Amino acid sequence: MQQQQFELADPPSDAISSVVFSPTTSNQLLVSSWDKTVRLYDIHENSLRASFQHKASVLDCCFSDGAHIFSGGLDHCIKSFDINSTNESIVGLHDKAVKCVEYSLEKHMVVSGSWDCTIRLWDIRKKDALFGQYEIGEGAKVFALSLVHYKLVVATAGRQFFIYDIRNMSETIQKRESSLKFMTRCVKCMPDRRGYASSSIEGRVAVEFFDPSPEAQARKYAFKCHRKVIDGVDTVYPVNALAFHPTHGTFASGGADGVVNIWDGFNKKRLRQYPQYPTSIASLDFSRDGQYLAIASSYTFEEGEKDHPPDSVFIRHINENECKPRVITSSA
Amino acid sequence: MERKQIISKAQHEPANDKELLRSIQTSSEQKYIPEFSSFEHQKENILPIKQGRSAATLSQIFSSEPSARNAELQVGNDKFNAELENLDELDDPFDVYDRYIKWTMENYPQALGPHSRVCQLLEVASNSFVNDTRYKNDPRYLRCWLQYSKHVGKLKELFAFLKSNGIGLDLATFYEEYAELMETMKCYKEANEIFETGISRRAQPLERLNKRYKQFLTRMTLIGVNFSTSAIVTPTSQQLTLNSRTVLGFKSSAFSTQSQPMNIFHQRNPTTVSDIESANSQSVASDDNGKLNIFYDPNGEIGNSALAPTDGKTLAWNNYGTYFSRKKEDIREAEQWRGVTLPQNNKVRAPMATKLEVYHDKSVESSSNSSTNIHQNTEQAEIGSLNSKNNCLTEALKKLVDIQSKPKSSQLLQNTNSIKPHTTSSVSQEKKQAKRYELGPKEKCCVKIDNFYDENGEEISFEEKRAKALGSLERNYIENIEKKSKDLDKEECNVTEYSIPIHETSPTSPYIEKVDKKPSPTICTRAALSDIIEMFTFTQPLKDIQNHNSDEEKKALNSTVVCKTIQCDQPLSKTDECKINEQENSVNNMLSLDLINRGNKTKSFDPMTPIQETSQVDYESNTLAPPVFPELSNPCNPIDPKVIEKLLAAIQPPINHYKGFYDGRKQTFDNGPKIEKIARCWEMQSRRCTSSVNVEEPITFFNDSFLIRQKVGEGGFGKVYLILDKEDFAVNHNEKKSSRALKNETSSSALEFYIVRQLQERINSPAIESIISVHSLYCYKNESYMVMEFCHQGTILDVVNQAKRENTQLDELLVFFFTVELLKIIESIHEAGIIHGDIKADNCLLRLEPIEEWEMQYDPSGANGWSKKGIKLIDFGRSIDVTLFPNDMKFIAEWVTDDQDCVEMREGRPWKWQADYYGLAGVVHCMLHNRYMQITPVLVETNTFISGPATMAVKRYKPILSFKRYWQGELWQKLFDLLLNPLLATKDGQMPITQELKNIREEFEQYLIQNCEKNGKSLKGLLKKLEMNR
Repeated sequence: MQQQQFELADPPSDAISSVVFSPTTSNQLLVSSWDKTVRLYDIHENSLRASFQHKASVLDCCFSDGAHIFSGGLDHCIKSFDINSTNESIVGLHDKAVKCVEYSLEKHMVVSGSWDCTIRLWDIRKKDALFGQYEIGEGAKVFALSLVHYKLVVATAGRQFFIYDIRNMSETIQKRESSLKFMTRCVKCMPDRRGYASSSIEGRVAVEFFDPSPEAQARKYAFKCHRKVIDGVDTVYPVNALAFHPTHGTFASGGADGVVNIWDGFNKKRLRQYPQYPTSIASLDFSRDGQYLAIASSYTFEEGEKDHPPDSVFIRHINENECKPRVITSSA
Repeated sequence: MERKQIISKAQHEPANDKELLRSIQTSSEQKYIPEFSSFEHQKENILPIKQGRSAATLSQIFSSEPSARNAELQVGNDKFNAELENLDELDDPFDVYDRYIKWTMENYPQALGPHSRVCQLLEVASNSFVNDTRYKNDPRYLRCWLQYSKHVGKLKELFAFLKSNGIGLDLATFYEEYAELMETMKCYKEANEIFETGISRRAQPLERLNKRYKQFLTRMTLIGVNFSTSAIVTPTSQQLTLNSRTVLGFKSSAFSTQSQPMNIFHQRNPTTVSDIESANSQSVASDDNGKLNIFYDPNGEIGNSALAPTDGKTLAWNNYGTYFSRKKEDIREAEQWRGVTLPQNNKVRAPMATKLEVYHDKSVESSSNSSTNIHQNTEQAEIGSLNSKNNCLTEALKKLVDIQSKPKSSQLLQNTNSIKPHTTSSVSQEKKQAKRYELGPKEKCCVKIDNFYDENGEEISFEEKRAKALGSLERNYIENIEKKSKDLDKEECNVTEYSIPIHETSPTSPYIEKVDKKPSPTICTRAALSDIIEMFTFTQPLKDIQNHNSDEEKKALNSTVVCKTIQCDQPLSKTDECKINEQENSVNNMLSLDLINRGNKTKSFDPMTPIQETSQVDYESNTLAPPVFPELSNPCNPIDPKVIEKLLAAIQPPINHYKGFYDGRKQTFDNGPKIEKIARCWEMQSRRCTSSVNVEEPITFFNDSFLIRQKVGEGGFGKVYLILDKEDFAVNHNEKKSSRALKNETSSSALEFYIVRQLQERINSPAIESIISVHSLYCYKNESYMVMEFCHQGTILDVVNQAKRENTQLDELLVFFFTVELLKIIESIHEAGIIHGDIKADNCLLRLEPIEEWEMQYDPSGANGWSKKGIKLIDFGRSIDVTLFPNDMKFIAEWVTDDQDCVEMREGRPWKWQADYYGLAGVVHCMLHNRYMQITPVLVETNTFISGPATMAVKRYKPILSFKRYWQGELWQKLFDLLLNPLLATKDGQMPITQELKNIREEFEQYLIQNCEKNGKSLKGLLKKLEMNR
């Protein structure tokens, strides 16, 4: 009998910025942290397989295939590591800290977003990797980005959303204002490429669709979550993390209240609420087969420096029906 | 015959009463007409009665003195009580009650309710004659009942009771009152029946009853109630209606829905019993179906006692009961509350289904299409997203704005105006300003949203905020990387290098950067590190002055200059005296000189003389300004972080010049949880390890690495771990030798470090061995780590607890020995001008060092190996350096005190040295009795202690527990008396009482010298045994 949930041994010694499962196997989990390290864990053996250093805190990481990983952070640089040979190299630099990195399987490129208000594409097969550099706009520091197929959604400061086609980055397909009234924390595209979900610091999640037609746009919605009534006051927590289940299309949200919810976005239902974790949920990711959910419970410094529980990563085994929509409706 | 007489009497009685009353009134009127004003002030307190009250009586009641009035009342009561005693001999016993009641009503005008005197009297009177046939139809008696019911509440039940007992059944009043009650209860049908019954019974006076009935019927027709069957008064008609349950009938059985119209006035219907029996047989018959057999009482003895025959013999309901006996269910029986869980009023939880529903945020949708934007805009002032084509919309908006509340409108108008140009740039400009939303009225964000906007109103993410706080945003990585990236192919990039930024503009001032260890064989020595520290700590103020010219830095500079001059002025003899160790560099030399200078000063400090004098002299001799004490209230709370901060800021030389102080106060450090985790793993490992945290991962502070072992203690302010000095361990591979104690305080505090350093400077006797030595303090912004020596033998408390577990006690000899040790320590720290402030058994570590030559005979001087045995005092976290305070400074405890705090603290009085004396007494008590000390005051005459005019009694305290008879009671008593009453120890109540402590210690030592080997046990043996067990 497999454990329902377990905590990773040897967690990072500082706040966790991101957890990412390998696209090839479900046992490899990449964890980037403020302690300047990217760690690779084997979740089946619950052991640390490798770790890679940056010169400053790492804010995001991603896999390209099962053997190469990319990461970026406060040291402005994007580094690549080879898991097997443990070689490392600098892919390139941003002018400011790199907030997000994603890998496009279709284009074999790394997409990075930075606080220097640019998106850069890196062709990792070349030595001079920079493929293109795209200014988003004034003051549009990248806070989150998500990639599905060729579609790239970039959430920036000023509650703006930019949707690109990475085959033609010179044009912005759509520019939207956030459906939420407060700063965007996270954006994730639906695995079925129809839309994306975004979350804000004010306990809300919005679900939107790419299709610009009025019918499709009418279906977008937002809902409140990650709130607690304390002394009669509805206390709102930032929603730091979102993750879509790769097969069922349901998604998980993690808030600064330490709670992880599983939502059925089509039927607008909450499927699950997991017991509270020690501190804020900093990042979430489903394994590619949907069997595991990695939950980074790590204070996200929303209230500044303060005492907080230790940073840890929990791996939750997802049962067959745990994240399945209860009523399957085809609302294409 | 008798009844007739009574009836006739009853008819005459009211007339008599009236005559009587009138006669009284007229007689009093003749005397005087009382002024209304004489009782007007009490008019609210007078209970109105139907027949009215005598003004004379009222004025008499309220005009006379309360005491006189009471006496009068007493006389009246006595008179009636005397009459009541002879009740049995009277023809008309009720008459006494009647008069008594009337008199009471007159004289107790306030009376109302079940607790009043009148009510009690009515209760007694009415209950006394229930079975007296003479009064069954006596109007006075009935009136008595009715009045009683007015006090306790008109109850249907009362009438049922009266009916069952046949009281007042021939009186019209009964029916009138009963019907009135039913009418008020809207039971019109029942009321009607009651009237009919009364008329059929020809109750007297029938005329009045008929009249009342007619009035009732008119009232009924007015409200539209129709009694179809009762148009003609036919007594039998209603009694024969079997299908409806009549008011006086009863249900024949549990099964039947119909009730028996069985009236009390109709003699028992013989069919009733048979009915009951048949019902009973029915129920028996139905038993075959396996139904429950319902208990049934065919004779009606239990259930229907009210309707039981009134033939005198089996009168079941003959007692209405007192008000209180009837209310007994309302009164909670006295019971033990201990262990009872009180029922909680749990809030009903909202059903789960609604919780699961996703909240649909309508405002989001409305913001997406422009047609609904008006609504959004007027509310949220989000004008930026307005379509520029909608000229008409802006017009409409303007109109709407006018309607809107005024404070809002001005702002909105501005916005609408700015829309008019319709240039995209201005719109985008507008957007930035209009972006800020507010939370809902009943919402609160756990995050301060304002913190996440910069001065331009742009958003800052959590990560940026933190990066900024860490200062990593400003750092220039790129240059490094670019440099490095060129050689990347050749070199591994594991060399971490930082460019340490010194920003003139940035508000974050530079701090000492941690220099990472390189994997080269060169060892980063302390000397090298101190060079670095020197570089930073000494260049910094100079630079700052150039930059900021702030006053504080100037001061700091001045002080360093002054220090230097002292160094030059110091005569060599002084340094010889103090045995300075050779210092590696001039900086340290200078510092230590200054410290020694301080040490000298305190050495000359005599506990009996005022501190200020000596210190002033000292400072003057050093050409320094008189000590500037930080401004503090007197008394002050010495453990108030603000006070400590002020003190530490004022000390010269500053704390960061102390040896072993690693200043990271501008840096945050968060290894607390990690250390905790490793320690937890070690503990688990000792049992069975399941987790695989890297327990051998060293924790590095600045340049020193330590291996964490286990947690050895935890207090309110911090945690203590056993750690290994990694370097030491690498050299000698001896865990014991390289083990240290790491005290992690979550709120950074340098006080303890300062105190211990000062003690090390100030104490020059062997007593310093008894004070924990501190290696270093790594002081960060949020927490501090102090590395101390580790004593593995445990605390006095452990020893006591062990003895307690074994049901024994520490041998008195041992207690003597430890007491002497403790006295020595306290004497020396007090002489050094330091109050420990938290002396308790768990802060006294055993110091039983292994030794080869150790004589049997105790030697108080510490010779022959005795100096190696003793105690180590730890935890100076609450300590007070009195030299930092003015001489007259007293302290006050602002924490929650308990038995372990001294009397002054508990009583909120100012204290100073008492804290330690009391603490010491507590430790000794704990060793002697295995229990914490509790004390009790004893009053003692003063003249024996205080010479002077005052001869008031003074409280002396002593422990509650008395000493065992085989102990040295006299010595112990003397010690406790001294420690608990230090103010009374000297003639003028001077403190500290170090000399007195010395005297008593010498007595103790004498005892030990003489008795260290006695009756087959020796102090040495006992200590050895203790050492073995540890």
